[in-house]
Amino acid sequence: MGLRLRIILTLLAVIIPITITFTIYRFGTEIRNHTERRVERFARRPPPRILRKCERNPERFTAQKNSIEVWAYDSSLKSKNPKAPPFPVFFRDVGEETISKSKWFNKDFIGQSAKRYSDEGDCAILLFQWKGHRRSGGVVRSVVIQSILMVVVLTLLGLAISVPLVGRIRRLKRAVSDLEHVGFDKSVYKKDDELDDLARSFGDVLERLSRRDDDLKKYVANTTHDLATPITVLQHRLRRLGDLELSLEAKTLVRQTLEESHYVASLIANMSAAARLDNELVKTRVNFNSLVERIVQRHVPIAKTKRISLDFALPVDALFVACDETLTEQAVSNFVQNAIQYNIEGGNIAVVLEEEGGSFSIKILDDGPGVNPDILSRLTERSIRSDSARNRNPGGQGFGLSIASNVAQLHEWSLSFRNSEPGFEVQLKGKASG
Amino acid sequence: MSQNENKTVPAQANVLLVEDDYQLGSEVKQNLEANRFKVSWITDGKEALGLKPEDFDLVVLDLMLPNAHGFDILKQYRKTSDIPVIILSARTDSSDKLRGFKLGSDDYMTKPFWPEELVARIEARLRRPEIQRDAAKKIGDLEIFFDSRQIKIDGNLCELTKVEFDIVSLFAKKVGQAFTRRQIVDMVLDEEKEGGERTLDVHISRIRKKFGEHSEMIKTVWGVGYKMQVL
Repeated sequence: MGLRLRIILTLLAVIIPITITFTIYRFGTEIRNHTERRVERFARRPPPRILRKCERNPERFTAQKNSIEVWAYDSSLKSKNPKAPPFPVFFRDVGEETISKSKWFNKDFIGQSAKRYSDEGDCAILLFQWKGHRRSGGVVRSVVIQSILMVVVLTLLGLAISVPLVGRIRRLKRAVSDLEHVGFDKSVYKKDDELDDLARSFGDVLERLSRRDDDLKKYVANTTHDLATPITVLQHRLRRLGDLELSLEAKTLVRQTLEESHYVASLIANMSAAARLDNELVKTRVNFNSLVERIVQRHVPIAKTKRISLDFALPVDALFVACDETLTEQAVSNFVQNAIQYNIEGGNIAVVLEEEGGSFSIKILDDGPGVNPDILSRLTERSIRSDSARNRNPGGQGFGLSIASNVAQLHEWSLSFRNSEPGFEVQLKGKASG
Repeated sequence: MSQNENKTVPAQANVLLVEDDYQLGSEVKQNLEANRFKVSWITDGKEALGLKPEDFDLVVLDLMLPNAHGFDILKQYRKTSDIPVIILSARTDSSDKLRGFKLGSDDYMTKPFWPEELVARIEARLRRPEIQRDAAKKIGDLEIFFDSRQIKIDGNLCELTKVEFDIVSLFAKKVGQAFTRRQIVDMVLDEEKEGGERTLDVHISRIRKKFGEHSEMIKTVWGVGYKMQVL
């Protein structure tokens, strides 16, 4: 339900019952006033036959005339007629002047009047009870007409209140949903009211968040930068260690440590790639032949430790693609890294770069165990932000693949995965720059 | 993977290493020396600015240095020399890389890297200009003469048909790199006369037979096709 409708309905729900109650009360009062005047006129000069009828037979006297009910009492306020109601205490000092009182919560009559006609006798005082005309048809018609009028007036009022309000809220909403593309300009919201206060404090929060985001990115960039050198040293030392005369057990340990250090290195590279994904791509004309060769070269040492043969094939003429070189290298590296990580010892991996009709295709094939079909369909859907799996396993397959698929998306390349029975095939396709 | 097949790198190439991190510098120096390079290692940016690039065959240059930035050193060297420069950096920004190339760097080595990776890159840089002039090439025990279309194994002439020689010489141009079946068929075979991908396997098995105990030099590459490797 929109805000506009809500405001109008709230107005109607509050004001219509009030109006109806008020109308009913007003009608009640009018009827009572009218009846009171009529009864008092009647009491001042009652038809003589009524008094005569009373004196003739006080034990059974009562009279009805124009919805006025008449009862008789003596000067000690008692009636000879046992059916007569007890004389109201309120009227006990009644004199020659008619006194009246309207009743709101009595179901038999809407008011009473009394007048003293003589000082003695069984018909000294007469009590008049107003039965009243309940002209309910008139009340209902009036209430309905007033309610309809109210609906119209209140709807117009509601619109008058809500239209400018809702308009501003909608503008604010548009600004918030566009902020990723155009940013949020809080200086537009100058009015001194709650709505613009809200917009301004939203702008403040946004500024704080984006500052924190920048700090975090800087921190990641610095950390990865600082880690790169010691890890290179580590890899060099491990390599030298592995070349020494060692027992079989020590050789195995070195090999496993090498694998781990390679894994850590790729994690760091992914972290710095993730921190840069939001920045604009720095596109250059990249020689994909060299890129693929370089990536393979980087992974041959680690593939060797698992006795995996890692081969590559390139087109004869160098293939150029306009892309962000670092991100692209990281994306393709992640596929190769995964292929090595998930392949069995002694397996095969091939990276094949091909050119076809102005497009490039990079295939990363392996003869490993492949990927569970349930996961397969979801591999490309993973996005770096919505991947809850990566919280549990920050460096696992999910993280590398989500970065790779983000890179592919940013370059408008297509990325596909399939089980090739046996093995797994990743294909990255896009426009070559000729 | 490539250092043992390479015969065209000048013996005792002189490498200038500019790296301020003591641990990394000493590791890289040792690694390069173990691969028959002569290494001069300096740690200070200002000192690097004072050197003459002509005295070296190649420069491995870190960017973050005390007293001078790597890019300034590169700019200075480029005024007088076109010596190959490989930038060594932990900065993985594409715009950084781009700046390096604009200033005239030849390659960009991102840390962390494996010892053999750097060696392969240095060798590729030093070897590059000689690729075009190759009229003959020695790959392990095999010698190939492109002009006279002859192949010698252990010094003995090996008789190959025209197609077989074309296949071997295609492989020989990029030793270690695989060729897809499609590629080989497109580039070497006349499909109408010699047939397609299936005939290729026949040609390969004939070449292997003629290579005798060196038949393993032509390796079947899973998922791709074939490649030549050094035994």
